[in-house]
Amino acid sequence: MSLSFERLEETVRATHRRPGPGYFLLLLLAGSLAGFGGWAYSLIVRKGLYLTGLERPGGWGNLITDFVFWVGIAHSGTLISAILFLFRAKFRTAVYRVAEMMTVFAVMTAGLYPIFHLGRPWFAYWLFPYPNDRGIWVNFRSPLIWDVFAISTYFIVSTVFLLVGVAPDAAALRDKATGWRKKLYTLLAFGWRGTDEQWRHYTRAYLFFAAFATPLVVSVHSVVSWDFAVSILPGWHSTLFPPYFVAGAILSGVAMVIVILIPLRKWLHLEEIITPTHLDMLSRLVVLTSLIVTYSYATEIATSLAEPVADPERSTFVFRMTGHYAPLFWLMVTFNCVGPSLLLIGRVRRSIRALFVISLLVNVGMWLERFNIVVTSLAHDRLPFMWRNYSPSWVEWAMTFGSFGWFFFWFLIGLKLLPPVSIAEMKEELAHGAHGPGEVAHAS
Amino acid sequence: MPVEQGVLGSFSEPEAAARAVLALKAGGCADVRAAMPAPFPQVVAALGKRRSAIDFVTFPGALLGLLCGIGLTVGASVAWPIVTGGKPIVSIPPFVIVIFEVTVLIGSLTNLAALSLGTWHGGRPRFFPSQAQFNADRIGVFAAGADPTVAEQILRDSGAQEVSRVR
Amino acid sequence: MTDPSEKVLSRRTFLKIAGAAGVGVTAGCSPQAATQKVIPFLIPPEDIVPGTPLYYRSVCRECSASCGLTARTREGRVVKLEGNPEDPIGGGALCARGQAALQGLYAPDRFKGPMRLGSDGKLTPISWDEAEDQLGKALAAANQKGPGAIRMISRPEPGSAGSLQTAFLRAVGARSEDRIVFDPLDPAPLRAAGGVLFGRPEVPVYDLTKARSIVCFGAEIVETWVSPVEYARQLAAGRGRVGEERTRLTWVGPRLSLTGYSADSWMRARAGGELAVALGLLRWLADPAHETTNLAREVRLLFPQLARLDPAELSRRADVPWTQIELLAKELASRRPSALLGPGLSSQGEDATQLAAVVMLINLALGNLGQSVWYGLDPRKDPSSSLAEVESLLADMSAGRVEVLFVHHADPVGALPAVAGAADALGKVPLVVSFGGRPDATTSHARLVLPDHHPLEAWGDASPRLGVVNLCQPAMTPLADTRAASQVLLEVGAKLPSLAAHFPWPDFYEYTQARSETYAMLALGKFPDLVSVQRDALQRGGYYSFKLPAPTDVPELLAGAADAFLRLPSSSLRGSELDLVIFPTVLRGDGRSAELPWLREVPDTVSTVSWSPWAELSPTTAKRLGVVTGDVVAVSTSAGKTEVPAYVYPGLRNDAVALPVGFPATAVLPAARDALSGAFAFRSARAAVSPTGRRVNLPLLEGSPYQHGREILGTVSAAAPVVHRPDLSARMYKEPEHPLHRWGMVIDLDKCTGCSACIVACFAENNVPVMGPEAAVKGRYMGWIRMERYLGEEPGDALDVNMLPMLCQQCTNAPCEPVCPVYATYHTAEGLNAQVYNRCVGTRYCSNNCPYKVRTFNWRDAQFAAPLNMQLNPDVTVRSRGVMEKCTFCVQRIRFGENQARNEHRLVRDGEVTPACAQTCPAKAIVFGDLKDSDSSVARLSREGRGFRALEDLNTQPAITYLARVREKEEQ
Repeated sequence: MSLSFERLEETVRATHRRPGPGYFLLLLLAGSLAGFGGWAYSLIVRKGLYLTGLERPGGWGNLITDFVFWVGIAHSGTLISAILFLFRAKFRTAVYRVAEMMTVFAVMTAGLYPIFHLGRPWFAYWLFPYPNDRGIWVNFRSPLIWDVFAISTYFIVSTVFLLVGVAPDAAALRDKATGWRKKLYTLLAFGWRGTDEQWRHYTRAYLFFAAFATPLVVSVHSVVSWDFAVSILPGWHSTLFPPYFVAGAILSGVAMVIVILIPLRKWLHLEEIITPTHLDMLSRLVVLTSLIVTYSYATEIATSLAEPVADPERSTFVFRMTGHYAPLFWLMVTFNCVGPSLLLIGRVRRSIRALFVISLLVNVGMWLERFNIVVTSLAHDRLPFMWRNYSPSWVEWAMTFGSFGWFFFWFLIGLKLLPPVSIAEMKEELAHGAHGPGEVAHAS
Repeated sequence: MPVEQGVLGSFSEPEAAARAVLALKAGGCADVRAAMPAPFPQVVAALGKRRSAIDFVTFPGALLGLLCGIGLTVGASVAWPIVTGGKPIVSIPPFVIVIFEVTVLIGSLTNLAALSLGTWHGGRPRFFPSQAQFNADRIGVFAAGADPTVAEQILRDSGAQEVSRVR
Repeated sequence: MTDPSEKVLSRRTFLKIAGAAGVGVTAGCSPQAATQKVIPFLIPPEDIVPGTPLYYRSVCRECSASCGLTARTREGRVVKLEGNPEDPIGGGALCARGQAALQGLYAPDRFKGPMRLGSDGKLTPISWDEAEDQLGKALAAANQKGPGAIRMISRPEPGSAGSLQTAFLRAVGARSEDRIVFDPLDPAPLRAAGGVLFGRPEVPVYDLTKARSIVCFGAEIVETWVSPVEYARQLAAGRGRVGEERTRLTWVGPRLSLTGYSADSWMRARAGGELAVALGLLRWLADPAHETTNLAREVRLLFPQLARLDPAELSRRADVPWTQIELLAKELASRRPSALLGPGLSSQGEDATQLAAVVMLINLALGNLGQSVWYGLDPRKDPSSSLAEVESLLADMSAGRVEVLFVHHADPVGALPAVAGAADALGKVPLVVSFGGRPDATTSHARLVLPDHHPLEAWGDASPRLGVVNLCQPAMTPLADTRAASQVLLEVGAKLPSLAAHFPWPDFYEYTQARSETYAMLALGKFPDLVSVQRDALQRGGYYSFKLPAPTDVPELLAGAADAFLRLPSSSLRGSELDLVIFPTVLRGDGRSAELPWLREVPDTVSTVSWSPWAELSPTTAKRLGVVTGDVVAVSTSAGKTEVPAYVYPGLRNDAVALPVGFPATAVLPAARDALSGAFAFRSARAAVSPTGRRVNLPLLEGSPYQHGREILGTVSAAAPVVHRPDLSARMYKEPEHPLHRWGMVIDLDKCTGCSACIVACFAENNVPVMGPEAAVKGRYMGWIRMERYLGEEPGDALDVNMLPMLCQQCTNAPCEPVCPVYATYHTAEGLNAQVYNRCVGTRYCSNNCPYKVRTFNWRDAQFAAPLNMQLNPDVTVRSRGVMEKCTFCVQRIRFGENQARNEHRLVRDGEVTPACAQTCPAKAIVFGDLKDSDSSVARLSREGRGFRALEDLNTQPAITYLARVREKEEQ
């Protein structure tokens, strides 16, 4: 590949050029979606949760589904940047910046939903342990408190990780930028000069960040899964959940990265940096995680069917597969298991269009998976007399789509401020690359 | 930081820079410094600086986090002893989760603090005649306090594009 | 406690008594203040101690049973009604409607004062004087028109009010028949049958505690039949044990009613087939071939006539195999004494008197008379008029022969079938005077509305049977400018110069006092110091000298009286149509109180429907019509047509459709009547049912009414008297400490009749909000107790009805607790699962994790429309939107009891603390107490072999133990 430091920086800087109307249109669309969702939520705050479709036994619905979904999306970033970094997987370099941005904004989205679904959201701060005059502390046995810790830690750490990675690039951009951008990059560069002294500490620290982030990313979705697994509800109460959820999270996360990268590399002219090879690698990751997820589905169903007919566990799963929500279940299986397995075929995997569609459907499927877990289990608890099916109200749908608006709003802004690929690491790669120094010389 | 006098050479390939560094050292220049857009291994190797000592800050930080986590969970539960679900007041398994998260949080924040101290004006900042290009596509090699003429020669020989004296 | 009537009232003693009154309802008698300074607003304010309840005894007027009640007042307002334990009828319990009477008092739509129908067709307020003057003039004018111009239609008033009305009417020149007593649920056929058979036109009194076997021919004894609270209690007394001595109940009828749920066997006789079954039983018993031991002689003599009945024909008519009838007959022959009851509303057809008579003959044959069935105890006070009399009144009204019509708490328009044309008839009367307190179908035709006090604001008395006089005294100041109807009559009477002489009493209170002398004499024979007797009576709630007569006092069968009843009436033609079964429900009663929010919010136990009428169809019929639950079906008879949402119910015969009494059943009922008693024949019509294609969201509580093999309820039988329970000896953590108390509850499913009294009591005690039909449809019912009703294992299986009153189980290892992030729910040192409303942020995780799904969430702010808010119990928080709530075991009552005990430096005694549900349970199926005290009744019962816990294998260690329903496997 004939790509020089110069070209590299130019391409990256090009992504920050004044965007066209298309960009602003997207921004407007995302913004108004988020706005509408926000307004819908304000109704709940003013009038009460009766505007949702929630009932007894269905205490949780769309909002929790959204929460789990976005936490899942948030996983790809740290996975690609941290875990693959530790594994020294080369292909991560080109894509990890986008993934990290995605992570930060996805956590920003996910974190809202547990608060949204509270009966008295104005007391959400009671969930944080701080010395208060009420003398009350939080209940550390509650998975919801684990959530509070896991999500906020994850948000802070992945933000730090992102910004630390950005610093050298910001320095590079700073030196050619003007006006407010110069100020911004000076700030982000954090006094970066690129001296060997700085690199010495930097490389080491970066390693530690990766080392911290790796168990963290695994823990976060495990904790989210414990929101369900710790309960005694048939369909929730399962030791399988943590690995199952982590795999699912990575599946949806990577799929989301693909869904975003494919249009992005066209639109920002990053084809040279983000090559089909990278996409190919990511799609292999999709296949892998999808296989794990499929295996989890199979295990759950198999173990429940092994139970006697009257067993609530079994009954719940039979209900999932044949009951009121069965169509959603089978859609989920199609999108999460059948779809990705097509990627085993090289021709499909290499066809950008097919890859895009499959990944998009995986995201739909993963949302449905969470809906299935949350809703069908609640609808079919131990006392048949209290069985009841939940269906979301328009308010909940508005907030669900609002979450996408909110996410893409920040993501689009982020694209225009942060370098979408890591310049420094790319340079390192290039210098390593098969090409001789001559090229670099000529280019300069 | 005070301006130190020395000779600055700028290279476009890491290999060349690495050669220059080694030559300077061989030429009796004790204090060779470099600036580059990416941590090119050849150069880093040539400089042969010892590994960053950041470990000795981050690890205690993580330990501190661990202690904070234990203190928070156990302390709070004992200060507010309420029985839920017939479980003991200090129930270890759930606490471990919180403790872990706090460890990671405080650990990585100390790591960040350590990093900024080490790389920014904190730590032991040493003079380097910064130029924008060292963040872009050039590698700067600075021979501090070396004999100018010798250093210039060595740098040129190792294929520096530009060589300049700093004083 | 010592009898306070001995003491002179000082403020201290008053407080003592008031405090002591709080010790428990058993001791809760009204303080002297109530007896001397009778009307609360005469109590000097300093005698009302904020936070200290005052108890007043009074009587419940929701139905003719007239149970005694105790009204708990706080700061001058009645906040809760409970039974009067000294009253032999209610025995300290109230039914659901009795509990809800409170909402009748605080109903927002109550009339605020007298009103006149203006020229603009609107009711406009006027002063009492105007009203009484107008009434007086009208009466004077009508008086000239001769007899029949002044009429009255009244609910039964077995007491002062009734006698005053009669006296008044006589005084204004009306004949005795000009006063119509209107009671849709009146058991007239029983009277008629008694009259013909024994020359005793009485409603017999039953003592079911004596009966070893009970057979109900459609008699809804735990719902609305004659004296439901009393009979539920008596039935329960024979339940809760395994084996021979357990009372056996058989239900005969086309529909398995709530009473049928308590039955051990259901004889699926077709509508109207009850008579054939009864005749069959009588024939079998009388048949010498079967050598029934000590059969009554006079019945044995009837065999020749009975022999003419062909068993095959009987069993065909009843559509019941003869072997089943034989089996029941054998049981009755062997298990003596027994009690056969009927007809009930659902079996009250054109042959109602014959059915009543045949049933009574069986009682006679088996020697039940004088054992479990008693004559000579009916006070014959104000028996209701026959439908014939009502219809003649309506005819006179339509013909314009009626000038003035008094309507006293009777709603002929609402209760009579539309075809009777009561509405038009009322339109023809120049002056309709209504004493109704709230708008209803009849009052809307009134020209003059003179709102009566609510019974809780008024004086009065009711004598449901000989030896029982329940006194009605005001428990609080009248809310609005209302006036006792009897008081109005007195005043009007005094105004009319011609009448003044007849009405010497200054007010109605004096009148009741005057009458109470006679009660006192009846009660005590001799004539002691009247004042103290009367005071004592008011404190106790009435004059009780009730005792069953000697067994020798048995009525003689009149010669030849039975003959007319021993032939089967010619069978009515059967078309493709379905039998129309009209049934009463414990919540709707005769439809009078169906408007009260609590009674509409609480789902009917049988159908789990709330807020809406419904038409029951059997699964087979529903399938044939192609309808499912929620589809609107058109029910049409010769009399009319109505559209009702369907509810598919396996407990109904395939050849029947069932509607609850009241609207819309009235729209399709023909005005048929039982020839002999003249009683209204509810069971006379055949109906055609067709789908309309429309569908509504029927507010249903039930998800699936089947257990799906999960063995949620244990049952036991004589063969296997112990419930199989999982071994939970293994412990992961050590049990939490309960240093002082460990509150617990036992619910005996063998006694529970599913009557919902506990549920309504809970609404009243704990300020449980009524959320309305939309919420009910969405599954947001807020009741803290619900009646889980399971029909069997899987759809289509044999009917095996089990009921499980489900409330918070107060688990030791509560799944709801550890998942709450803010400690809003936790385990207290007294073993309660506390819910701290102020701390709750509303994650709803606790509800998700509760296997019993007993936690209810406040999806929106609850509304208590004024003046219903005056009923709110000041001891219980009203929960705000966004917080979770649930049963607390009436923690406020626990605290009250504990404080009482602390003040007296002792521990709480067993039975001292009673939650609202346990207190009002007519069957006494709910027992509450301290499990740590090993010889408390709750601890003893929880150790019984029938004991099991809900979803026990989850090891949540509930504080509630259920005692399994006893089944007779060979029968089922």
